[in-house]
Amino acid sequence: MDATRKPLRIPPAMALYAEEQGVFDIIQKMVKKVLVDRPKDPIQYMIDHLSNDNDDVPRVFILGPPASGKHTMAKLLCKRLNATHLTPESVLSSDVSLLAKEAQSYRDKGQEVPDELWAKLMQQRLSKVDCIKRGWILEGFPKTREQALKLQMAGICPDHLVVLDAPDIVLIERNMGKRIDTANGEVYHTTFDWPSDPTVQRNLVEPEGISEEETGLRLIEYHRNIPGILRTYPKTSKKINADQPYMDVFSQVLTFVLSKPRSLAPHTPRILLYGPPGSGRSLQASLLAQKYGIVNICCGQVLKEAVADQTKLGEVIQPYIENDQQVPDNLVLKILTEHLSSLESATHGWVLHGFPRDTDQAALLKDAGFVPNRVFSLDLSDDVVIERLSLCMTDPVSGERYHDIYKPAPSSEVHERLQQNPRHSEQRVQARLDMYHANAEELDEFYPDVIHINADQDPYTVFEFIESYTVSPLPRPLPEEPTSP
Amino acid sequence: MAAVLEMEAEEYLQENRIPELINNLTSLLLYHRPERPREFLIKQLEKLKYARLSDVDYPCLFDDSNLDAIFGILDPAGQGYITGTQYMEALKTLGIDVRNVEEPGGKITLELFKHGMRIQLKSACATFKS
Repeated sequence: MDATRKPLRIPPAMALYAEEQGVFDIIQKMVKKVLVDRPKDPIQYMIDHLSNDNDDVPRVFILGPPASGKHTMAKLLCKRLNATHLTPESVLSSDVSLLAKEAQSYRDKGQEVPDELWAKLMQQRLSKVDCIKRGWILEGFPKTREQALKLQMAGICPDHLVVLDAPDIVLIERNMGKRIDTANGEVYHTTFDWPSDPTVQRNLVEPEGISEEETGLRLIEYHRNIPGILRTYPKTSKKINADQPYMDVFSQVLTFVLSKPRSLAPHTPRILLYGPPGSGRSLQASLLAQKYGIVNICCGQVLKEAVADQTKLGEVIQPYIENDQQVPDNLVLKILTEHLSSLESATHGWVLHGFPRDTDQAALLKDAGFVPNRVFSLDLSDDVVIERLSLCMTDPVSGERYHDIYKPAPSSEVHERLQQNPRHSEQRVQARLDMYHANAEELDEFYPDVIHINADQDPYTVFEFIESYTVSPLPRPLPEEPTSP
Repeated sequence: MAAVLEMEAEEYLQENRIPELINNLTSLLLYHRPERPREFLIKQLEKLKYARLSDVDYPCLFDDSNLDAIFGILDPAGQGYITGTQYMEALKTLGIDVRNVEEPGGKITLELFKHGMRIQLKSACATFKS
């Protein structure tokens, strides 16, 4: 772009609106669909697409070696996300069209169904209304890279590809215990998932092909094909270790399926950090500000600046600061508003810390129209806070800060002249901690999307955490938990 | 192979004037900022669909009052006419692609200006395969 040109000023209200409503995503998904299907009448097509309102429904492939628990995972996911569960078999058997008959005739002759036919069948099934409206979870397909490519040519592409993974020896063992209910085709296991109902127990039979040799053959087949499939979907796949209790596997699968891919939508980070004193808020904020060029607003700092600049508001709050009293909320908010609504904050984003301390302040901030889009709570235990702060000393000559444990003074001479910030005495720290704890819980309730981070780690580890949550979009909300009868 | 597909896609987009359509839709959306963007977009698309049949009433961000305002800005002295260069600038201000427009000569009165602008705006909003 021509840097000498006048920069394009977009009113902040537009950017806010676009971010809130996900305008970029709506348009991007619409154009993507149009390009994949290339309809004759794009306008009507777009109307139909928009009225479907299905941008957020799951579109998932679940793959994995035999006995890795694909079926169980798919079933649980469908129940939880209210999606349609598909397997190649169910697609074949539920279909009554000519295509399905053709496929069935291949099967009857003992031949493999050709890949083109599979792709057509899948396309037909996925364009049915339940798949469009509620999303789909397809298990155990595609089996080869060719099938994956054919599906892609037909315009079928999953948003998420879950690959369950476990050591072969575990799978062979596990497969030997597999039992199938003859009545409804449900899968059970002799050790891990034994039905409590005696009538079901009687119905169970050993399925075919669970001996060690047969499982081995299927495993070899699987290992031959999976690298090619993974190559077809390099960005959307995730391997999940299936050799764990199934609820653990499921929670990992669910987290992955709910995550959204990183989007190119422009967004301004509006970050709020809170945590006990000494948890490293200012350090993290300055790291964020440095790396992403956003405005670092530290509440205490901003107030002191106002006093030092002798602005009108500064003169009003001066007595409070000098007497070490709390500045009234409305005055703090006025000063903060000046900083938060500056052009730089509006265009680049901001990171705020030291405010709000309690829910009243948080509500004030919200009423003023400053809603953070990421809230982080830096969690630290009281002992660590006291250890971090009360042992912290400052060298009055060089201004360098030392810590008795983590960064001792270089010489005894320096050590002698170290002085402690009165704010860091154990009593004062304890008092601030008490104040923090009195409000922390309410703040957590006020910001339900808060992301808790263990701050008792290396500062850069903490920073990476914050970064990863800031850069990638928030996961989509889970649909309401279905009420169990 | 990828290059061929890409070219086909590009061709399809140009043929159906999708980039212009999307531009218009997003500017309408961001200008009005409705509470339910999906419904709003559907409404605009429906409007465009009918406009294609009847050839009037295209969904457009600017109306006659905007044109009057622009003319007023370009002609602050109230002479009643503007020049061809100013006419072209006005088109650019309205976000119309001026590459295919010829610069008119002589004095342009308000009526002439509005007529020309309406034609240009209409062609900019008729974002479909003709």
